[in-house]
Amino acid sequence: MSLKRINKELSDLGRDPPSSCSAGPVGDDLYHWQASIMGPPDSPYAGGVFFLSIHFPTDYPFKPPKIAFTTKIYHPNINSNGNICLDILKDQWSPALTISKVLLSICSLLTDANPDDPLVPEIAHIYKQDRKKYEATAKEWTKKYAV
Amino acid sequence: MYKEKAQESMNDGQYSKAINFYTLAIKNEPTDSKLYSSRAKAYYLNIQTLEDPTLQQWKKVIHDCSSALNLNKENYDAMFYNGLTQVYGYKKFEKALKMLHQAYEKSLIKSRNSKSFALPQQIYLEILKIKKIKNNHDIEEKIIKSNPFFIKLVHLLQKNYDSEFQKLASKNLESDSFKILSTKLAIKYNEEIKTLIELFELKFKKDDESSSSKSNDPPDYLCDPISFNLFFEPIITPSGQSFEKSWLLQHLSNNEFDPLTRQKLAKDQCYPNLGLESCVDQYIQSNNNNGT
Repeated sequence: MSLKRINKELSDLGRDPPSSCSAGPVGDDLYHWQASIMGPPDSPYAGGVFFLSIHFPTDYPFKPPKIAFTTKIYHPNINSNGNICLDILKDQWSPALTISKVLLSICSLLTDANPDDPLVPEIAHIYKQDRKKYEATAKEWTKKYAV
Repeated sequence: MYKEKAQESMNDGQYSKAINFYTLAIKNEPTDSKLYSSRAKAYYLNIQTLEDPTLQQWKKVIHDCSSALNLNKENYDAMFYNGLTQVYGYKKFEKALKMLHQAYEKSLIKSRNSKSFALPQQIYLEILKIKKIKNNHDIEEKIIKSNPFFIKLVHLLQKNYDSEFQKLASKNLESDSFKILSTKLAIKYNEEIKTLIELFELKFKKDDESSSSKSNDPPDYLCDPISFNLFFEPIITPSGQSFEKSWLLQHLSNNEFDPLTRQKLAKDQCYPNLGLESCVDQYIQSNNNNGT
């Protein structure tokens, strides 16, 4: 059942691609995709291209896809393994959401971090106490890993 | 014991082996409706692996389905495989759709208790597919019927056959050689008719292809926002959004919110959206392609 929907999402992405991201299957396995997000211009990630891996569960869209960054990124809600702390990827998932919508949410997470629900408390602490230092480190990591 | 072995063979895709095990199981328990419908499924899947299945093989599916339904008239598996056989074996679309609708209804009732909606969803996809095939078939028939050349040519071939046959009969041949010659004549006539049908089918397919390249995917407002398929039995929530019944029920079996608005939502707050259902039917009729 899920394959049909994944196929449809793929053709919709091809027909009407979102401006700052792209996504598509890796090889022949439609359940495993790769996506890329351009760092939003009004964020310290500007100029970087970040890659993500997407794994669809077999009961998709009733269960959320598993999405993780494969490019290293300095962000309070993304840890060193690339795991993302985003409510719609967990308990707030809805079957009416699509990969395209989720990627746009991740884009806005890059612009507006959520330090009150952090995955990496140290980064969240710096984000709250010393915003300039956070931005400088995020820019540095972007240059180092995502350009 | 035999039942488990049959199930194992089914999972391995060894359908003829599964058929034998089900036959043995039926000998032990001749009143178990489920065994008959399982064997029907095995026959059906086995036919799918054949290139040129015979009517005899389709009959076996029908026979087992009727036995299963005689023992338990609620057996939706039997209805499902009976329906599929009516289409793919006998080309009886009306009968098949009626049967599949019944199977869909019954399996949906079962699914509500077991919380597994795979079967009604599978049946619904088959119904969509068959509606599309039926529509293609109807149009094909119409063209053949309305094309005066086709009828004319058939008449000419028939006339030719009749006169040749008369000639043969007037020759006063021995009965054996007359039999051989008349059979040859009949075979020739059949071949000619077959070629004629193929020619017209070719033209029909060409016309069909050129028209299908023009039309696009079904519009989003006729598609379920969860499965992304055309609606079949849309239900509407208090938010005004419609969803495909079996898909929304699967979502609601573990959650209590509207997938689009996240408002609290219970099953009994949803009602059928008949207007949308007719729109989808209309759409399928006017676009004989892209049915799913």
